[in-house]
Amino acid sequence: MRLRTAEVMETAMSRFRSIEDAPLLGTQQATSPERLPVSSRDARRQYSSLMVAILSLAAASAAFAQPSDEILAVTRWKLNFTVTSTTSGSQNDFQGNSTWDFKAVATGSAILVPGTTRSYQGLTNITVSGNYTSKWILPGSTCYYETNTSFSGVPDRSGTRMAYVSMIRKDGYTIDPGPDTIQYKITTSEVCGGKTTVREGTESYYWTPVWPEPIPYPASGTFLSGQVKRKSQILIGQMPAYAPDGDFVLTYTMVPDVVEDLKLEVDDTGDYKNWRPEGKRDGSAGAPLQLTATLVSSTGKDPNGKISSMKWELKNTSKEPGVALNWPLNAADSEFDLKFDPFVKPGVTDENKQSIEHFEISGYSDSATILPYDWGAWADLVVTATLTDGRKFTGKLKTSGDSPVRLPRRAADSHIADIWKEQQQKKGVKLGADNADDESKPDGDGTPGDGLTLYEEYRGFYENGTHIEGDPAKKDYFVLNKVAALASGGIAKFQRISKLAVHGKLQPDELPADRVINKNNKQGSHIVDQHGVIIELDRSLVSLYKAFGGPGNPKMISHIGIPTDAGSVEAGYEAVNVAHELMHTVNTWHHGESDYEVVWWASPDGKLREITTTSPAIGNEIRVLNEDGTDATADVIINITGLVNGSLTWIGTKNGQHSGFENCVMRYDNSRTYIADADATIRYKVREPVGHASCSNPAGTGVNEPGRRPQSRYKEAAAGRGDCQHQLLVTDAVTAPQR
Amino acid sequence: MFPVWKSALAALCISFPLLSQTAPPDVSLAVNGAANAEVYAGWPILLQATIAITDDAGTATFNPLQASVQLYDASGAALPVTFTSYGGQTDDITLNADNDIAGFRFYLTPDQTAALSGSYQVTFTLGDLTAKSAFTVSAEPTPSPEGLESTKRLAMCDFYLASGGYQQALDLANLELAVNASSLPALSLAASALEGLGRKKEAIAALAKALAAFKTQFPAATEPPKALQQRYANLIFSGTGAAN
Repeated sequence: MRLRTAEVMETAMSRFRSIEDAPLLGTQQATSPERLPVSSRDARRQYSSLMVAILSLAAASAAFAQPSDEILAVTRWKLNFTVTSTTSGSQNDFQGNSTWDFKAVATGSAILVPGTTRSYQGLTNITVSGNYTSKWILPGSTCYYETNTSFSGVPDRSGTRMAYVSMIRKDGYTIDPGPDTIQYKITTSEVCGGKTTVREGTESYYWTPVWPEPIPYPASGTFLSGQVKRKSQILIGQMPAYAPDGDFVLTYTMVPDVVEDLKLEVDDTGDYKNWRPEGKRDGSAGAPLQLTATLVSSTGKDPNGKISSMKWELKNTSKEPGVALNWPLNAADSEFDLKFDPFVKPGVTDENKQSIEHFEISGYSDSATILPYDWGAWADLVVTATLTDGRKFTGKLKTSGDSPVRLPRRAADSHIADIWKEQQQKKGVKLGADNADDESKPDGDGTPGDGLTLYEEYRGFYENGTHIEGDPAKKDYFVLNKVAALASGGIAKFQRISKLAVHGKLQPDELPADRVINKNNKQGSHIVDQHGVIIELDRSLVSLYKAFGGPGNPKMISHIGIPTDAGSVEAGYEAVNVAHELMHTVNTWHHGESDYEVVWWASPDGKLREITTTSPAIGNEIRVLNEDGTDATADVIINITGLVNGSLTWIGTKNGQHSGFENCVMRYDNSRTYIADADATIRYKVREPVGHASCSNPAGTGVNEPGRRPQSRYKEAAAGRGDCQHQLLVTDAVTAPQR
Repeated sequence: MFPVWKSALAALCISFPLLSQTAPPDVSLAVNGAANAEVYAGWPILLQATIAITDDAGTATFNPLQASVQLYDASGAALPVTFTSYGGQTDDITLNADNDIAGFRFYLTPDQTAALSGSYQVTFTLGDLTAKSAFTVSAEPTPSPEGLESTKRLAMCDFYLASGGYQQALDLANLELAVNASSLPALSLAASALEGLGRKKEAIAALAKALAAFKTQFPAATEPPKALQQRYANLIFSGTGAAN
């Protein structure tokens, strides 16, 4: 074994000398290390350095084409490489019969700094591992040697020897990975004449040849990478003196080793800033959001790397039913509210379009388009760039650095788009949390809110086919008006006098049978099922407007019945009646309850008599006066004479339904007579003014004003009544109190 | 009775209304008291339009003579059908917080609707204000379902009151009362017809019956029949001097 190695070395040294003596012309020939023997490597390295120096001198006067300025500007490179070597085979010659199998891999890296002209060098860190087996049967003998070993470790002088890259050649650069030997222990068994002798020794393996072939410079950029192959002798263990070539492969990347911080930025300066999700009545997508993520380097230059794929993912995506709180009715879907659009830029998507991955990345940016299907949609977006070298970067918002990216732009503890909040705040609206229901306008009875959370106000409703939002500053109130013009005036009046945000144009397909206006809810903030109010023609009613279930809050009101003869009532008065009933649906009560009915009749003695529950059967004689004192009794007698059952007459009373603020819609206006304070037999004949407003004080005004002549008709409202504006109660979250 | 309106006349008027409010007025239209009415051919159609101020600070002034109504078929083609206005006023109307509602009424005669079938849209226009309503017209079912004859009589009665046919209205109301003596609608309509005919005492008697019927039919009513009461009081106090 030793003898054989010595032969190899001698032969190799003679070759080395011939190379060293060769003229310095073609670099291929001059630097070729092929078949250099094991012990010639150090000398070869010295030779290579000499060559570089000579060529560097030549470069000073030769008109070499330059590597790009961009490459030459790099002052520090990072080199990563792998060198593999393999050989296996057999040989039968005068030295005997040999078989061998060998595989090794070396992995290393180095930081390279400028050395001589257009060269870079740096200490390497390398690990090498390999396996070797061989069998050598001596010629004409049954004796043989067997070698079987594996090794793993760092090469000799690793950390002290230099890797070397030269860019002096005009046609390319060359790479020398660095320290090239690794010591390993080898065990050889000599089997001869039934006797086995084991020997152990230490040998060196040259894990890399030199790589003299110039590698072309890249057309642009500073990302140098590639794979170089060559054949060269592998000299290890019991290799034959002239062993066949092994296959060496050098795989490397070399990038500027600047102090570079790569990050994936998601642009939040464009649409993202102002986008809020929208739905469509027909279920199609609303206005899309396009987001762009860009891999950027802290150097301000192109990143050192290439993106192989960009994956966009939506996580925690909302699944609110329908597209808004009341559209479509009784929605029960659990579809994702945000999805990627696979058509703008095709990619690999999942079934629910919650992820899309792009593999065709041009440069360092990629975009994805997100489609909204709900006005209250939200999700968290994660975008990941994978580089060709395996590095991964997760996208962060460019301005805030937030990751994941919240869609729409919103606070971490909110599902409401910031842009919407900002718009409200510009109007001076103070906003609470998503689940806040704290509107105080109008104050009403002091109970805040309208049964709709801030999120619900934001997500919104459909009214008359159009999406609307709730008013976060006002209490919202919803009406389904099935009688159109018969109630529209009353609704308008109710809105004006109540100061509520009245939504009076709901269509039949915009309020469910159970009247819950915010029924389509699942994950979004929701505190109570808030009800709308239905106004409809009630064929059982004549001349009677009625809020069935009221006074109370909206959940108590099954409907407002409009009488069949409503169309014949003067429009203004019709509106007052409707507004009056609507006030009952927000728990506003009458000004009093003490009015009563009596029967007047013209008795045979020519007198006008009034029958009450406490009067004699024939009734008590009364007189009817105008408030100016003129007597109208005779004319009344004429008009009611002959009525079989007398004349049913409404008597307005003090603190009764007609009391309090004169111009309030909650004050009755049907009393045409009241009792004189000075004489209980006198009935003043009057026509009550019709109320058109809502009172904020129980005091009597106008005809009820104290000190009025001939008297205050009905005085102030009953205890706990009147002051209607401060009775309003909209939210269904509380039990409506009796007043 | 207001004279029959002609679309051509309305078209000649100067553009109104004059609006000066922060929020536009609300304008709405109902056909036979409904947003999407179903009408039988040969029955009358009563159209109600309402304009309402929606803003305390707002005012709107318009000339009611400019109001127009147009009927369209299902294809959107305008039809040469003239609606007749009734019960309205001719002077300029100014709406404000104190006088916030204006109503307009129109009818189509039974003869006019006899020629209709299918889906229609009707628009009410006054200056920049427009309201739409849809309705369908179908043949009256035969044989008549229970109650349909009564409903038709009352509808026809309404129509005759609108068109000034008080005697026909009274006859129909009496027919209905012959079937249902305590019919509140019939009593109310009869009273209106009698008023129109100048038969005040009978009108008072009809309304007195109506009020009594109301008490019987709605003993637990939380609201009074204010419109009936007002009409009744207007009659029994008529000729007694100015009310305050």
